[in-house]
Amino acid sequence: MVNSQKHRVLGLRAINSDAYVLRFERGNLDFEPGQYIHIGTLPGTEKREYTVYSSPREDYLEVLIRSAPSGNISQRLCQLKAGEEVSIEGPFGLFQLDSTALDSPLFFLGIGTGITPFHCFVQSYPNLNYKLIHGVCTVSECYEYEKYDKNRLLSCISREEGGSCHDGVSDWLRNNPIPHNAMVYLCGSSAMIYDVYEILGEQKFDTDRILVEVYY
Amino acid sequence: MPSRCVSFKTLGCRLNQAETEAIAGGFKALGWEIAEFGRPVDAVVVNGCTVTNAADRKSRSAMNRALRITDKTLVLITGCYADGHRDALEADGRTYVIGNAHKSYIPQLVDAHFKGELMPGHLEQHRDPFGYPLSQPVFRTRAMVKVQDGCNNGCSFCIIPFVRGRAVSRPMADCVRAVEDAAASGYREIVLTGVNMSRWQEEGRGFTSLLDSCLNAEGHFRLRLGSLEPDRLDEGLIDLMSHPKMTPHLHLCLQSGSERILLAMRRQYTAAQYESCVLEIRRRTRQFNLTTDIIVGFPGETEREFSETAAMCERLKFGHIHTFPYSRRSGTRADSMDGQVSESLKKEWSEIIRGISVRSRRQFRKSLIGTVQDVLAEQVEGEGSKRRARGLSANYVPVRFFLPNSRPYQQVRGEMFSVRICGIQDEAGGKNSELFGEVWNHGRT
Ligand SMILES: Cc1cc2nc3c(=O)[nH]c(=O)nc-3n(C[C@H](O)[C@H](O)[C@H](O)COP(=O)(O)OP(=O)(O)OC[C@H]3O[C@@H](n4cnc5c(N)ncnc54)[C@H](O)[C@@H]3O)c2cc1C
Repeated sequence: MVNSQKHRVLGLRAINSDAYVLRFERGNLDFEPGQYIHIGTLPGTEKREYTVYSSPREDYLEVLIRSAPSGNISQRLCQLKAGEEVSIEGPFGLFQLDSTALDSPLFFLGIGTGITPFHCFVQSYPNLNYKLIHGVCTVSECYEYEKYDKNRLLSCISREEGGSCHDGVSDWLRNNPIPHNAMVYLCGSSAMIYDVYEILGEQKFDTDRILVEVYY
Repeated sequence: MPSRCVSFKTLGCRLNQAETEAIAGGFKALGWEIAEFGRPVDAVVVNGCTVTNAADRKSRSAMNRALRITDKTLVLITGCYADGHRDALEADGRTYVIGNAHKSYIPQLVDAHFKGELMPGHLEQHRDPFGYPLSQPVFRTRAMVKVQDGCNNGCSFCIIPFVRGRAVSRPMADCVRAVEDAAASGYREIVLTGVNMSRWQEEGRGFTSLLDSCLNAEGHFRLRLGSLEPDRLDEGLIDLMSHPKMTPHLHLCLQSGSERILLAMRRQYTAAQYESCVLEIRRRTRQFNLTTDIIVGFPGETEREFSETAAMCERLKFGHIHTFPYSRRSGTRADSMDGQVSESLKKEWSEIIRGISVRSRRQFRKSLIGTVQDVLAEQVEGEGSKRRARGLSANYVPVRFFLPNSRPYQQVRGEMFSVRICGIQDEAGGKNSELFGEVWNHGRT
């Protein structure tokens, strides 16, 4: 069986009524930016995947969680108090920046909490040549935008006024073809990723330059 | 003192089989006899699997059978099933649960138990998933060398990362030594195995480097790869497929031919990438045999996605397709997905894929008629002039051939024969087709 480690909660920072950043002790967990961990509350064995939000340079671990309606684990995690413990396994995952491609323009496309690995990338590598396209329904999902270079961030808010664009991520992409020397990172729902693949395919973009992380 | 006796029951993947083989080798080295499962023995090792709920049921039933053998028999359960159900299994007070990480110590542990030295707690102190002795030819004519364990991919249908743990790679020097040792002990075929071998890595080197080093290891052998994930097949690896020691066969798990379903499965490649890689290997490698796994009826799969898979199977002409109707596995992400497919539809779709598999397998096998294949003999049947052997060609096709009685082959099993393929024989109403041939050029290669 995979070894679970107990990590003490250091605090919880609410971002809006259903999203929050949970901070734990780092322990001896080493990870690469973009990787995820399995987190569960104690007692219990059920766990869910959460991408690490904080950079490996920090001596704590943070995750950004949106409580899923009637979600088993995400609802429980948001009720934790400093001093309580969670059980963590990992890290897992292959959604990492390719060190040989750091000079290429990087396009990060994420939906909702799919912004998390990009937050970790940006906090971990200070001089990245990136453009982050974040797709959300409402302004309240613009999670901690102050952490990004505002000239590199574009938010596509579909159901409210605000943001840089009112279309979905796919529509934005149709009108703004990605340069063929770029690397594209996609994180979010498999439906969104499928659409983006199709659009990039139409733009004759080399699919070997795309990396994906499917949340649901 | 008569030697002690152990038997085995193995469920699940090739890696499990390889590990049982190595464990059995360890027992033999300690002077134990190996018996058939079900016979009265001193100890039974059940190497269980938990990949589906059905695998759980089979593992549980093997355990119960083992416990019924005699009430003195020591029963050990290991493998992913054991890892996932430790507490429940140990509750009977008779069963020892040995996790995957400690599997390689089973022979020493059991031997120590019978010598009255057993302290199970000690086991937890050292974990070496590669600590197996060189496998002995107990069950197989091929040596299995485990080069990797665990998986970080996180496919949504798979429970394995939860039980096998994170990916770990066996050091390259160790792997090469194990290959050379196996060749020196007389194995003519060596199989590299792992849970997700293509993710093997060491200090910036990837699986292609490992394969290259193993192919260039000392010894007279051919090398085969156990099942492989298609997400790390670089140019170098494709090149190595035509290395003289490499067997022209890959079991590359496709799972689905639909891009939409592959994403929902969280696979790390697209169907288009898979296809272009296969075409490239075929272009460069003679008589290349491609086999695969397909899951049908994954949550959300509709007629449209299924037909994409079926069309891809038709196009790629697999030498064999293992078809799995999707089986829900609690604890996995796919289990809670919407759009679960009915059992009757899964059955119908499975039959379609199996039909495609039967046809393309026959077509591939037929294309080998007239060629000469190096066949590793695995079984010998019959007497005198009717004596014949059955074995696998380099490209993993079963071949039957008569053994000329003029030649007193001491040990046919495990020997390599040059066999000219003469024809194909259909069995089971055409569902299975086997090649037959004759020993060519005095047989041995
Ligand atoms: C690799 C990976 C990384 C992830 N990283 C993050 C992350 O950084 N932050 C984060 O908030 N989540 C992340 N997730 C999703 C997370 O693992 C859980 O699925 C999510 O928190 C819901 O779990 P739950 O137990 O609360 O809900 P469950 O009890 O499992 O499900 C309750 C209901 O919510 C729906 N649901 C499940 N997941 C989602 C989802 N992601 N969005 C909308 N509805 C959903 C289900 O269909 C169900 O109807 C990640 C998933 C993966 C695979």
